[in-house]
This record gives sequence, structure tokens and C-alpha cells, in this order.
Amino acid sequence: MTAWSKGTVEALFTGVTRKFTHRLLGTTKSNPTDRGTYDSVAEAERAGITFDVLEKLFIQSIVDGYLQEWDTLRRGKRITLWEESVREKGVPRYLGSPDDLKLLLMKAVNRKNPATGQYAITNSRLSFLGRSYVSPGLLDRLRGREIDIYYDRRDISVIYLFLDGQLVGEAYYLEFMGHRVSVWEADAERRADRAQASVAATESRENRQRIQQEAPSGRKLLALETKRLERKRHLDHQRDDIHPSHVQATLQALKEEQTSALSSPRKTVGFLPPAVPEDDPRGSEIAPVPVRNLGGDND
Amino acid sequence: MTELGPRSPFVVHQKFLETPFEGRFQGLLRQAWQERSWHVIAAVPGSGKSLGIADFTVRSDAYKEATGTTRLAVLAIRAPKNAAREQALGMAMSAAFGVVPRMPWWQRRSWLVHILASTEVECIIIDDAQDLTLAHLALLKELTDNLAAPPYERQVALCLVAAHSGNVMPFKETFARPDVLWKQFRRRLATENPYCVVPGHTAEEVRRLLMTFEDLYRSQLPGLQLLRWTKTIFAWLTNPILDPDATGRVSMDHLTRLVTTSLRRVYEHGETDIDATTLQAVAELLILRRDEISFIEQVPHDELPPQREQT
Repeated sequence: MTAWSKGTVEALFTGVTRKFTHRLLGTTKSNPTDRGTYDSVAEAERAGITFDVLEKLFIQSIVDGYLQEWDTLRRGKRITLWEESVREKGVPRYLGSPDDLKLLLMKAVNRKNPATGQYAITNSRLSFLGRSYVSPGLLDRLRGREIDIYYDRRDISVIYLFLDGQLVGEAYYLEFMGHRVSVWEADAERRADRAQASVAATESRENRQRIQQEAPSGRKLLALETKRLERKRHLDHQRDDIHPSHVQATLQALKEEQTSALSSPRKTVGFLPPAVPEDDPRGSEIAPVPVRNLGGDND
Repeated sequence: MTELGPRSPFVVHQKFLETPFEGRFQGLLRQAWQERSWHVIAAVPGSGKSLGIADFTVRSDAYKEATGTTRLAVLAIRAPKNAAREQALGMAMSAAFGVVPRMPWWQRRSWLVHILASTEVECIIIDDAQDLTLAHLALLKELTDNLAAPPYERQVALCLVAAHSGNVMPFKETFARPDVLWKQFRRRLATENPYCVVPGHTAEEVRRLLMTFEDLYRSQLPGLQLLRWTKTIFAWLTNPILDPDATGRVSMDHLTRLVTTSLRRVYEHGETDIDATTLQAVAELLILRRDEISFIEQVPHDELPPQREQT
């Protein structure tokens, strides 16, 4: 793509917008005056036009609509002109790194807060799309600096941080636990969670009200709880009579493992790959580097 | 855990390792010295530039005869900090010759040219050259020009050794300025490799270094097998936090810190070899939790600092 392609690209977008996009159900038109009382969202929902459907129709409108039209300037069908040009010159390929291309195609957001000039980096966490991203060691260094965030809407579990146009690292949203979650899925999840949270809060409030009402009869509850614990203790004593000895040993080991797992300090969640020893470290093929005393003779 | 009884404190070896980085770096210095050429040499912080310069200078056959004649073929100084005036660099150069005689600055300028010639200086190396100001560079040009002119007629190599980051080559923009001074400075730079970046260590080089560490510390940790962690260590030390410019190379400082800290920990636990848990914990400390603040409430039992090997 060069500066010369600008007109061609703009002509394509103009053609597709006029002849397809603005005639589609759910169009937002080009401005509020054109839109008038037309309810874009309701019409899109009625026609079932989701983003995926729109993407498919958009590509179809280019291939089957725009490219099949007659180009009066060049005197030919656009698809024929395209095919002839490809035969002659080939399709230009991206010559950079595939990883760079991925980043270039991502959506970018500048995180400069015009009011304060600072970012929402608090406690080594970066707030983005209402979610807290972490990147140990990196975010503290970026505090107060103007950064750009690149992200792919198909997976927002990772965002890429750019400082002065250079990739400086990634930040992760830990609550997705490494799973891929798109921005649409995440928003839908959040909406569903909000409804469920409301139901849960109502239930919890009712329970608390009931507990408060029952609180005066505490002595009776204490007696019932004591009786339950005593019965549990009796049954635990009878466990030796229930299972054979090897099963008891296994059960005891399982219990101890669970206890130790609960009591051990929580492992720090890190982003380093685990330490994996190599089976064949090829020690015999290489030689150590020469060593000597600082500025002195060889060892 | 292997019980070996009470152990003496862990000894950190203070040796000079002729690492592949040092080979590349000192090779450049040596080439500049031999050809009397001027270079800007850059490497990331912590790669071993200062240590390499010190080693190179010590091994440059400087001597002082009984008659008082001094020969100092390689003059290595560190760029003055927070001192933008040319006098600061002049004093730093004077100090390298020993006692600094008292004299006015106009006189010292001539004295410096004279002492550089009489001690047969052939190569000037300036460490931390990123701190040099325009006034310092102008003075360097003046001194070397005066040395090259009669009656001395001595060509001198100049190596400006700078720490760099962000893929920015130090001095490149300065020397590209249209002023006559910078045009002259630029003309004096070597035709081949005027601006050099010396990269850190590749995975294979890290493997060699780990083998060297194995040999160095085997007397304290008889079962030590570091080589098998090469890939893991290389992956960790090229993490964007330690390698923000994505060079894909490992600096000696990071490698030494990771290895010696891990070895000290396993040694203090009575082990004879390194294990994955310790290595991972130290790597996380070095990479992920480097900026954590520690509250020290305990009083250490040892009153003396840890023992270091006498060289």
C-alpha cells in the first residue's frame, strides 16, 4: 500500500458506504440529520445483524458488488482490471515480521488522560475497559507516561503497551486465567453477571433479615449445633471400623495433603515459564570460557 | 536434603571471565588501538563494559621506569558526571596520570597535550561516554588535534564507550549536525565500524558461561549441574523486563546475579546442586519483584559481611 493507493481505497469505501452500508437495516446513516427518527439499534436487532454478519455482508458487497461494476475512467470491470493487474504485478506482500503485522492490525487506544496527564495505574495495576491488568515490574516504570495500548477485540486477556511507538511489554487480565475472551463475550458476561449479582444480593439480604429475626432464639441454635458436632465426632471415631487399614492410610494421606495445601502460602502468580531441565545439555561439546584474576595472570 | 555438617560461608568468586561479550568488546578496543581509529562503542548497561575496560587497561603494559619515565599506552577515564564544563574532563584526564599539578586552566590545556605525548598515549578510552557534553567533545578534538600536529605528530585512537538503550546510537545525532566542529569530528571517526553496538550473549554463549560457573563453584557445590537449565535461564533473562529493547541477548550482570544468588541459596540450605524451585524463586525476584519494597525488622546474626574470595 502506497500513498498512490489512497484514492482507490477511498473510492471503494465511498461506493460501499453509499450503495450498501446506508441501505442496510440498522444503519446509523452518516449523521443525525440523515438518521432522523430511524431507530438503528432496534432495526439491527430485528434483522439479526450482528457484527459477524455485518463483516460477512461487507466483504460480499465489495467482491460481488463493487468489484463487478464498470469503471468508466479505466474502461473495464473492476474485477477484470484487478485480475489483469495481479497477473502483471502480483499481489504486494507484507515484508515485515508477522508479529509486527499482528500488532499493527490491532485496535489502539491512547491512555493519556488529558485532565490529569496521569494514568489509572494504581497498585501496579492498569485499568482498561473497566478491568485491571497487571504486568509485574513494567507498570511501575510506565506510571505517569503517555502510553498506547494495542489490543485485539477477539482476545482482551492480553494488551500490548507501547511507549513512544516502541513495544515495551504486555499486561494480562488475570481473571480470565489465560483463556481467550473477546470484548463482546466479556461484555455479555458482565451483563449476565450484573443480573445474577442482583438476584444474589436480594437472596443474601433476605437471608440476613431471616437470621436477624432468628437471633433471639440463639440458645436453642447453640444446643442444636453442639448436638450436630457431637454426632459428627462419634461417626469419625467409628471410621476405623468402617474401612480396611490400607484405605484408612490412603484417606489419612489425602487429608494431610489437603491440609498442607491449604496451609502453605499462596504461590505467587508469575509470568515466567517454568524451570524445565534439559535431558541432554550437550556439556561435552562445549568448552568453558577462560577465567583469570581481575587484571592478573591466568588461572 | 543432604546433610554435610556445618559449612563455611558461601564464597562468591571475583574472577574475570573472558566472556564472548568481552571478546567482542576488547577485540574492538584492541583494533582501535592498533589502527589509531576513532569509534563510538555502545552496549546495554550491565554488559561488562567498565570491567572490560579496567582489564584491558591493566593488561596494556603500562610501566614506570626508575628514571621516572612513564609509558601509558592506554589512557582510560570515566566521563565526569554533572560537570558540563571542559575543565572537568581536563581534570579527569590529568588525574589519570597521578598527582595533579596546580596550574591555571589555559596552562593545563598545553600540559595535557605534552603529558599525553611524553607518556606515549596511543589510545584514549572514555567510559560512560553518554555523560559527555558538547564542551567535553570539543576539548577531546582539540587535544587530539594538537597531538597530531607538529612537534608531537602522534595519532591517537579514541573509543567513546557508552551505555545505550532503546535502539538509539549515542552521539550519532550530535555528529550529524552541520556545524564545522561536528563535521570535523565525524571525519575523524573510523571508516569501518564508526558506530558499534556490542550485543550480549546468545543461548549458546550462555551455555558456555554456565559451564564456566559450574567449574568455578563445583568445589562448594559438588553435584552442581547448571548446563541443563540453559534454555530456561535464557528464556527468563530475555524477558521484556530485563531486555526492554528485545535484543534477544543476555547481559552478564543479569546472568551473574541469577546464578550466584541461586547458588548461595542452595548452599545455605545444605544442598549440593541447584533445583528448579530455587532457580524459579530467584528469577521471579530478579524479574517480577525487583521493585518490591522490603521491611527489614530482624537483626542479622552475622556481624561481618559475607566472605569474598581474595584475588
